[in-house]
Amino acid sequence: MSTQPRKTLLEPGHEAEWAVLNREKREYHQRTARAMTPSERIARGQKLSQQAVKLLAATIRSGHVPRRAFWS
Amino acid sequence: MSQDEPSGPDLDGVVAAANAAGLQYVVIGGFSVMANGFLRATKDSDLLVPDGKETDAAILRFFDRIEATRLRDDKVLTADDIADAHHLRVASRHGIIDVMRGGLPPLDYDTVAEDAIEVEVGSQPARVAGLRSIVGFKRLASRPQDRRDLEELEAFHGKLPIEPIPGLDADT
Repeated sequence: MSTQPRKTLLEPGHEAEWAVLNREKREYHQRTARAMTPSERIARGQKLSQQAVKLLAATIRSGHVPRRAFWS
Repeated sequence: MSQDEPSGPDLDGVVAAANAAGLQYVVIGGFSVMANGFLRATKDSDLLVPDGKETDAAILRFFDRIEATRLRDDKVLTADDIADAHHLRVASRHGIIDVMRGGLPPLDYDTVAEDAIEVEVGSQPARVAGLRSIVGFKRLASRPQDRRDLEELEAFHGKLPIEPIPGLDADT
């Protein structure tokens, strides 16, 4: 029984595909940000930041990264 | 406040306390980048403040309200600590806050405040640095995150407004 070669982007040589995916993501985020007022962007960013710091604090607490990671 | 556990920035609380303390400030740093169109996370709140005794007294009231202590040694700051400092980094019940004095024009407090946008943060009025000022700060600092911010802001706004920065640009 023959096995099909597995398709993956996680190998060298897919720069063009990644460029398309990255552009798509950037355009999506720009559209989202454009639809918001500056106040709404700050509120969204604040939630995002609090979640990010909470996650980092948990990682520091569990000993997986040093505390200085907070300032890297 | 203990600094053992970093907490995320609570700009709503920072703005409410700064306004209540009568502090003049402009929000700069990561939150100003977000307000201007690039949504990303940040670990702290950054405030630009003017020089002067009135500001120093307002900073002291502000720090008292938010139970701030200096990040590096947990010290409760005094009027003398504040009067001599061009930069104060504190831990507080609203997260870590950097308080900075303005630099040379166009990064002085008055110019940045004039360029600022007026926004509502958690139902409180706040001034947030405008694009022109952000570009100046980011060009000056030029850390990897600053360069990324400039790239994303340019993708969002198109060509960025660039003003000469003393000491950075050759003809200033």
